Amino acid sequence: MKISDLTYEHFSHKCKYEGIKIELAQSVISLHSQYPDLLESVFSLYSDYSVSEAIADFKVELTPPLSIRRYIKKQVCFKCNSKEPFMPLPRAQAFPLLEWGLNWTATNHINTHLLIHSAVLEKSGNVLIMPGTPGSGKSTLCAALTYRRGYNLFSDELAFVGAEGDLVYPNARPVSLKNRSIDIIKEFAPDIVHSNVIHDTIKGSVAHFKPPANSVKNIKPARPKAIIFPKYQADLPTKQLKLMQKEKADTLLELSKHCFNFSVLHYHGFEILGKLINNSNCYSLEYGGDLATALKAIDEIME
Amino acid sequence: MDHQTLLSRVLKQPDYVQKLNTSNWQALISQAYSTDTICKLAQLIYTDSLKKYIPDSIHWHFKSALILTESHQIDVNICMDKIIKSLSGVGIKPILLKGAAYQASSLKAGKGRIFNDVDFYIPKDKLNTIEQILLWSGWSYGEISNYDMAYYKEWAHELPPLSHSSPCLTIDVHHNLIPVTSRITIPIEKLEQEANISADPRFKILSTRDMILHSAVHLFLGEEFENSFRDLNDIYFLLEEALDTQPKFIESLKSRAKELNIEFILEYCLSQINYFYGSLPGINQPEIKVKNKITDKLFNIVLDPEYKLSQKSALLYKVANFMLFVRAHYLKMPLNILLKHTLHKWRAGEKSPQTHG
Repeated sequence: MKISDLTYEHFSHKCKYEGIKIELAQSVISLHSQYPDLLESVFSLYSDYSVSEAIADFKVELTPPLSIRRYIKKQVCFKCNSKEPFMPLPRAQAFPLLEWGLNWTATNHINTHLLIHSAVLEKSGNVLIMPGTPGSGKSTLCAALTYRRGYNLFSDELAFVGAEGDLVYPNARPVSLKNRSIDIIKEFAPDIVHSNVIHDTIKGSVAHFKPPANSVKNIKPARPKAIIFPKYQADLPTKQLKLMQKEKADTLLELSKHCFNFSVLHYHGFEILGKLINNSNCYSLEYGGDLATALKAIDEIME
Repeated sequence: MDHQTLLSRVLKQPDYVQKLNTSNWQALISQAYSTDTICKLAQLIYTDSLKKYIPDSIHWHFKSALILTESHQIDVNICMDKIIKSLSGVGIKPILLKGAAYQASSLKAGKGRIFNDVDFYIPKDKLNTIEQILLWSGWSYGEISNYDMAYYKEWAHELPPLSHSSPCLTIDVHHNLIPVTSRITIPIEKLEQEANISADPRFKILSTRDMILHSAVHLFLGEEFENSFRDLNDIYFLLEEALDTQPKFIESLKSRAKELNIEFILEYCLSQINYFYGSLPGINQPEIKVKNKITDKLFNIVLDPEYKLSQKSALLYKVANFMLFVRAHYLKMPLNILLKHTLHKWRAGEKSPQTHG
């Protein structure tokens, strides 16, 4: 049964009183919250996910703090199995906090895969990994590839690389966009459902876009094909790009800095990363303002 | 009164997992994560004989926990090597404390026990020398205000946490076991006299009964209870292992507590062990005479993983935590210092510096 098969009343009742178990590709979360705005966002952006009967891997709660900030200048807390990894945030940021919390949940519990901070997309059985520092434009490219080029969204944030380094696992969740990217993608793909834009978060203005139903349904891993380090360059003429092959050794050094659990996996993490890179073509891509030019270059690599 | 939670029952008797249904497993996983005992649980139940009783969909939690445990052991060894390298010229063997001690001595309590800092004790007269040597060998204090530095130096029982320039766990250097301002004092020389060489001969460890008492002092005089269940579980495993070979261990433990003048702490400790793990040989529940029944009850609440996880009991859990927090400050800081300290922290809008054990 999918979330969309429930009425909103049934769904919100479950969240409020017993917790609703949502099946993500790599884990089952049991979500508990009373906030109507949060529940509405979850109901609309997670509508294609299955409601699970299985044991929940993580009990996730979004609740008001037990302090004066419950009533005045209201705040919201994220809890995972009673642990609070973040300071409470302003009440309006409940949905982004849930999304950040779910990322934290994965990166702090899952050591059976190597986890890399990157956008991950799949096309015809081939996986593209785009690691990127903030401002590199990886999320914008990820959203554009997902919503306009028919790529299968694996994740806008986290690559799950299997223990043998030859498979990458999907973990589709809403795509998080910030500031100017929100308008760019709204213009580029006007029909995509998204959450309200939440302003003044630690990352600026944030909105989440609904993942395509096919990406949610797909839970099969695929083989890595390319690793591209994108970099948006404001001073480059809009339609220009600089695409360069990247040395595998350089890629390994740079990519290791984007891993969440590299140090936990020790030499095994090094081996997985080495195999992943040996299985992939590696590039750096600097692009100017024009998304279409960048997408065309990526398409050619993924052919 | 015996109130074994699902988690304490399984930790005590791992083959109990054969009887768990789906909702039990659900509770067990959440309780283990919530109390930071998932790695310990994995050691005990993700074994050749018990694995088959674990539902397939949650196997990965235990695999992942074992990977973390292995990695943590490597990290601890690296850190210990660094400590020894730095201290080799001083000619003293540090006494490891808490998690690091359990691991170095290959005690059951150390298996799957994850910790963030390596704690060790050195005599107070060597403190300045050792601080200097550590600072010269790549360790440094993180950002710390002048006030907090003075707090540690004057009132605490340890140096502020030291971290190393290369990847390494942080270290806590103790020169006493409880803050020097406390109403209770522990004659530290007596503990030193009983300390032994650990299985890792580069270090010493406290005798088992002193280890238990130290852990109990930390837990029952502590002001912060986030890890309290895990610490109680350490004590349970230390007790259980000691009782295996020494049937009269409890008597020895009690006489030691009397000698160190911390009998009331041991009483709370045995009462909580009895409450969460059921009776142990040598401990008769009716004989446990806790000093204050309300305090005992408050410990029942803050230690209980079920209270910690349930939304319904969130307020009660928070209130119990706060009351014990006030009690700990009362016991560990004379009123004049407490007022001075609270006033400063209130004006600066900060939290108290965290000292451990």
